[in-house]
Amino acid sequence: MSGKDPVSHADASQTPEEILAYWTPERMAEAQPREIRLPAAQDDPAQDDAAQQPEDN
Amino acid sequence: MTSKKSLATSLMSLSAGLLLTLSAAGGATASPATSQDSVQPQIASTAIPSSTAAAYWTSERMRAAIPGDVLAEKAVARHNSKSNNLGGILEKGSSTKIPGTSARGKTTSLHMNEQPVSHIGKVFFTLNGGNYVCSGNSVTSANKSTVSTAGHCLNSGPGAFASNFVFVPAYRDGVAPYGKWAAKALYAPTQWSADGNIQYDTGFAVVSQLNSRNLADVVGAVGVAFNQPRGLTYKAYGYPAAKPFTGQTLVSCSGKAGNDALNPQFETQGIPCDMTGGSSGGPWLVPGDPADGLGYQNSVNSYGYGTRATTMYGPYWGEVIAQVYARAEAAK
Repeated sequence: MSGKDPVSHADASQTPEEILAYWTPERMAEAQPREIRLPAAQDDPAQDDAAQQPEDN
Repeated sequence: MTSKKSLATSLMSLSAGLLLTLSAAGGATASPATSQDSVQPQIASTAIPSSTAAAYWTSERMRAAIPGDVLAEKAVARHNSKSNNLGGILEKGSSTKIPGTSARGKTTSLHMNEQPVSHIGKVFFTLNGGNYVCSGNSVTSANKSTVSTAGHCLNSGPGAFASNFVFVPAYRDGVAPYGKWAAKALYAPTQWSADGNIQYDTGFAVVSQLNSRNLADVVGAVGVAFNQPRGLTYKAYGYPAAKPFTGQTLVSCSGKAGNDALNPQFETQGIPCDMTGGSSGGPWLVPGDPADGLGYQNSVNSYGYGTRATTMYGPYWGEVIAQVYARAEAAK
């Protein structure tokens, strides 16, 4: 990490009005939860090893 | 209908139907003990249809009802004024415990349903062409416009930053009581945005004013804490949307944090929690000064193991994440 800025950032390319207009009730309702699931421990029967990170479901 | 029953018989009756011991409403009276059953307590019982009892308690009667302690005082006076052949019975019998049940029955749930909290909400964003939802929180900041969330809720990790990022505080059932706040800048640790290092899965969004007002002035803002001891007790909030949740209401989990034994190199901590996808980015709070009532945020919902995870893990908020926060909260 030496020499690299530890902080990354991006400025929005849209105006607030454009962003608010984008989120129609339909789009909000259809938005998918974004999550990170790591493979479950083999010794934990309560968990599956189905997922990878992050999920784009 | 008045009858004498042993204590055991009466308890069985309780499970079979409504059984009230009344002295006024039902006209039942306690019968004196007879010689043949003098070793058992006598219980006067009256079975009354629930509809009858409900109809009896009109608004007028409920208002006029005498406080029970008045009756208790009279009972004590009676007991003291004459000999009572039930004396001593209370001291007899084997120890008995009958467990109660909660209103919702037995549950193994690791979460609590919550009313909306003004500074906690959902975040919506577009990433790699898809529309996603996570959770977020308004945090104290110089710009009064900073929202915390998970790194993976505003950057691919590694990869591009999100677009169309919006924060909806106190969301409930599709309603945005404090409006929708569009982000004008997104911040993440470079170790997340460049390397996808889960140890740094935290991000901050700076939102634009809405109706000429700053976010923190409208919904409040929680304090933040960094470099705290490990093993604190947290209350984590989020809007889990993946089944069995719907994402329409706020949920919380509480517990003492422990290390991730499977991947200790992450230096993350986990608390008992069964929240699902959509809760990512929700705040982990530790109690603060009781006077302010808000507490301090010290992590976010980050990841779990498998599809039925019972532990939610969050990153340790150390110096790197403190630097990200400092840049975001100072942004104009």
